[in-house]
Order: sequence, then C-alpha cells, then structure tokens
Amino acid sequence: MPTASITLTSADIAGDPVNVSKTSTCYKADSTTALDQTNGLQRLILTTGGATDLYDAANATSSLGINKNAKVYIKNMSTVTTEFITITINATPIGKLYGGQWLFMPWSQNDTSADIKVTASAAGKDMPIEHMLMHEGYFND
Amino acid sequence: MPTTTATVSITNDIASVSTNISASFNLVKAASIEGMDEMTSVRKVLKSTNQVDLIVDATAATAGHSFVYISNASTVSTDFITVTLGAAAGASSEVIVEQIGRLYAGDWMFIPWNGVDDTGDIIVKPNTANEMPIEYILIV
Repeated sequence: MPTASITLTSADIAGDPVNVSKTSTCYKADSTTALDQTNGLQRLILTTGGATDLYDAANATSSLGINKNAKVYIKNMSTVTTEFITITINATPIGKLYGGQWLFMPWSQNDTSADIKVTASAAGKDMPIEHMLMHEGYFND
Repeated sequence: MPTTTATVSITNDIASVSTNISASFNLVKAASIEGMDEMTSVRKVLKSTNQVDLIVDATAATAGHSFVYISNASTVSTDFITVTLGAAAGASSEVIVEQIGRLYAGDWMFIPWNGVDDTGDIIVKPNTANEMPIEYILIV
C-alpha cells in the first residue's frame, strides 16, 4: 500500500526539543482500500514565469475526481535559495516553495477549476521541479 | 538561529515498479538561509460540523512565508476534515475561497502557506459532529 511519512524535528525552536513523526497509508475516500492509480514521479523544467498546469481538474466534468482522494507531492529542485515556485489551486495561492523545499497535500478536485498550477519566480531561467500524484479517479487528458 | 528540519518519505507501490521518495530540508525564512524561529503547536477536538477558522492569515502576515502541518488524529476511517482556504466572516460562516482537499483519519499534510491576504485563512470543516481530534503546527 502507498504510504507517506513525515518527521519534523528541531532541537532549538522551542525550549524543549520538537520531534513530530507521522505515517499514513494513502486510502481511497471513505475507504480502507489503497489508492490504485498514479502518474508516477515526474521531473519538469520550468522555463517561464507563467503558470504551468501540473494537474488539470477540468476533466472532472465526468466527475472522475470530484471529492475523491488524491495526494500531491511537489518539490522545488532548485539549489538557489532565493528561487521559488508559487503553488496555486484554482488561481488561489497556497504558498511558495523555495529551492529544496517540498509539500505533500490532499487534493479533492471539488470543482472543474481546481487545477494545481506552479509558477516560477524568475522567467528565462531553468527551474527544475519534481511532482507526483497518487489518486483514485483523476486522469490526465 | 533555530534549525527545524522537515523530512518526507513516500512509498508509491501502486504501479508494478515502486517509487520511493525521501526528501528533507531546513525551514528557512523567505529567500534567506535564516531559520524560521516561531512555532505554534495546537491540538483541538472538534465537536460539530461547523467550519473552524484554524489559522488566521494575520498570524503569519508579516512573513508571507510559513509552513503548516495538519493531521487528522481521528481513528474512525470515514471521519474527515475538509481543508480550505478562505476568510473568516463570523462564527460558522466563513467564506470559502478554494478547497484544497480532505484529510481522513490518520492523514496529514504539510504545505507552505502564503497567509498574506484576507482570504488566506486555513479553514477546516469536519464531516461529522462526533468528536474529531486534529493537530496542527505553524512554523514561521
């Protein structure tokens, strides 16, 4: 079964050490059956400052992805700490990933506009990212 | 300068060839190598299906760059919270701007968070009025 684990550690952000550890199995919605479809790990070089559509919810017109379970992983592979990508969902900004940073989040495609897009901070420069989708209903056109 | 490290390990064995991901980074302030130095850690037990304004944008507005960890600590597999971006408009009447997704029992998420405008609050809504414990950590 697909699993995802996180550890958050710090010896000095608080008076006592912080150590958070969590592992979850990636199940389908309302189920203990594992997610059974994936786009696999992909690597992409962003070369413009425009938004790039990583995951398109538009094909949810057939309701394949709406309110199903999906997990998204995105990492900014740049080694330049000032370079970032902005991640949006339906044009609403979630946040920025600077070089070396990653995110892991659910995606329920509650409407056909809920695309996940990334925008590089600087046009005209190569910015590599890696991303992966595990899901139960979404498919890419 | 505090050092806080986030590490993810993902095993994707859905396809016939497995993908294993391991990635780690130190949480730093925007465009900087200075470590984030503020942390809020909260556990709540939700007891209704009302929307809850979990993290208000003003908390991190000065930074514009923070990280949020949210976990659904329920053990009932059909229990979930819907995580959205939106704005507080009064008790139980938040304005939903965009839904991110659902966290079922045992699920977690870790995202960067803009938190810089009036519609950037992180709002959660349980699907049941049964007690549902959730945990979050905000690092700025």
